[in-house]
This record gives sequence, structure tokens and C-alpha cells, in this order.
Amino acid sequence: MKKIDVLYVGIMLVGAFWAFIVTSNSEPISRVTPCKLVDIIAQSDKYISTDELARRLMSDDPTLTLIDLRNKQEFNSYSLNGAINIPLQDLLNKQYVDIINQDVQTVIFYSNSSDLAVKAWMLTQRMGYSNNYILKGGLNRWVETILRPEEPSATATLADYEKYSFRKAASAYFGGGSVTGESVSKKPALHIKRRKKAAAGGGCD
Amino acid sequence: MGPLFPTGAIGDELNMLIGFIIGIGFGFLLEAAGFTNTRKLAGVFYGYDFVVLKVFFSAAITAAIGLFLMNHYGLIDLNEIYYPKTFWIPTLIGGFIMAFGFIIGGFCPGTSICAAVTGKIDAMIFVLGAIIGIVGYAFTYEPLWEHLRGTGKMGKVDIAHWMGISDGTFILIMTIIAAITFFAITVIQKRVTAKRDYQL
Repeated sequence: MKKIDVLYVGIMLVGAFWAFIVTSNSEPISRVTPCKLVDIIAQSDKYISTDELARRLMSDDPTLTLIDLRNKQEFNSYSLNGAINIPLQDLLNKQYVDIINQDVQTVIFYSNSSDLAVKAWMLTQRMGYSNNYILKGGLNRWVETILRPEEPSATATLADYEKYSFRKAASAYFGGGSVTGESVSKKPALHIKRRKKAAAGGGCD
Repeated sequence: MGPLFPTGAIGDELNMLIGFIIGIGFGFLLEAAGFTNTRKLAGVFYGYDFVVLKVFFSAAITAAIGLFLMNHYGLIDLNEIYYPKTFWIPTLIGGFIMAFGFIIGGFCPGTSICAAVTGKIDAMIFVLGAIIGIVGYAFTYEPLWEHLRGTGKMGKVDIAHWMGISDGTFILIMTIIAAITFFAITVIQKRVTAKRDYQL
């Protein structure tokens, strides 16, 4: 072989070794490294309270996307208005990427408690997605605090009473209070627009 | 970021223009490298000239390494890149037919058009034959070929996944095979050309 041939083969081998080495630690660079993930978990403000959610829902905040992580059956029996049902195991499906990976909407995960939402939130952080939050306490706390708020004791502070009066108002708004939460009419979830991709053409030599 | 066309970064017109420019470059380089000479291609099969094999093998590996690394560093999204589904039986048959065409005619589809443009009469006839073949296939597709075309269906696969190894490992194996092949064909070429006096 000529010298130049040896050089070309050498360059190809270097490239191939490079490709081989980057697959052996096969984490794509776009994902968050474990070290960074620990930082994110420790620092960020990942919870949203039921009061905050109620306030935003009552002011018809259009930037809110609610994601119900429970299964379809539970979702159909009761859920929050306008929520999208994405069972946790389907969360990373390609069809939902546009919902959870964007920086316009505030995405709020919830299930009956916080458990599934925490898992979902961890997954999205791992993928490097932002603007995802957990509804603290999930639907159980939603019912406890918003739909059926408890009257504070006589010795409670003024702030507690203010919170109570807000919750009572919210309860009336969401059809809770002494009433059960069943009468909530379901608003259809927003239609999700996806980027339309042009079909790639085929070719040969 | 990429690929530019399927992700909508560039439109139809620019896509065509870029394709046109690359096409001209490809044709020019085929001619410059002497690939429009039928002996160059036939030489692979007779063992006196392996340039074509070297070029296409190293081009495939360069592209594989380049695409893989660009995908890894987020410059291109491989999922958006078109590659056809695999039907192994018709592919195998087609491969044989194409190989015989290579040996008999001395052109591949790309070089035949380049050679026809440079005025080689055999290349013009080769292109005419290709056109007759295409038209003939199109008109006899339903009665003769439709069944065969769908046999050996494997879906959209690539060899690395099919073998259950990572893309990087596969690229490394292919590159080592290429390096060994390059060395082996140099030896073969030396022996064959020493025996007979082939003139290009």
C-alpha cells in the first residue's frame, strides 16, 4: 500500500475508534448527567401547591397544561378540567414529546398522590425538559384543601382564615364544598398541534 | 439541527439546488478519478484494479462515522434520515443482476451517465438499456414482479440492531474489515498485474 493509503486507513480507524468509544458510554450528550440531575433535584422549585393551581385555574390561565398520570379508567371517573391523560408508562412516547418538552406552557403532573408525578418529573428532568411541575399532594390534597376545605380552629391566624376563605370560594367555583366533586363538567382537552414534518424522499446512486 | 430538508430547515427549491450542485460535483469527481473508464469498474472483478472498491468502501465508512458522530453530538437526527425497508430476497437477486451488469457493461448507474455525457457510445447504449429495463419493469410489475418484490420482508432494520450490537461497535468492525480488505486487495492487485500486462 502507498503511504497515502495508509494515512487514509489510519484516519478511518481513528474515526471508528472514536465512534466506538462514544457508544461505550452510550449516554447521548443532550441528556442531563447524573451529577447535574442531583443539583436540579436539590435546587429547583418542583412543586406547585393546590392553592396556586386553583388560583391559576380560576383566572383561566391559558399557559397551564395539566397532565393526569393515572390510567384511563381513573381519568374518566374523575379528573381536573382540561387535563390530558398520559399514563406514566407512556410519558416518554414520541407522540407526547411536544407536550412535555417545550418552554411556553407550565406543565403540571398529578396523580392521586404525588408519587407518580414525582417519577414523571424525574424522567422529564433526566431528558433535560423544563417547565414541568408536580402538583403537591396530588388529587387527594386537591379534594382535602380545595373541594372540602376544613375550617381553621378559633385560635388560627388571620392568614389561615384568609386562606380558608379563598379555598371556600375555590370550592364553590370547582363545584366542591359540601357538594362532592363529581358534578364537574369536563372541558375537552386542547387539541395538540404538532410540527408537521415533510416526508424524506428516497434515493439511490 | 439536521437533516436540513426533512426537518424543514430548507425548502424544496434549495433542496433541489443543493442536490444539483452535489450531483455535478459527484459526476465531475467520477470523471476525474477515471471511473468513466469501463476497465476501472471491471477491474474489481478481474483483480487488476480495486480503486472502485476502495472508494466506495471508504466512502461508506466515512459517511457512517460522520453521521454517527454528528448524531451523537446533536448535529443531525438520524431518525429523520430516510432509508428504505429491507426485503432481502429481491435485494439479493437485484444485487446479482447489478453485479453482472457491472462486469458485462463496465458501468454502474452513476458512471454510465457520466461516461455517456463524455461521449462514450457504449455508455449511451448502457443508459438506453437501463431505461428499457426501467420501463420494462414498470409495465410488467403487476403480473411478474409484484409478488417477488414483497418477499423476505424484514421491515426497517439496520445490521447493527439486527445483530444486537451497538452502532459504534459495528462501525469499528466494518472499518477493521475495510483495512484488512485494503491490504488484501493490494496484494491481489500486485500478483494479477504482475502476471498479465493490463493497460488502462
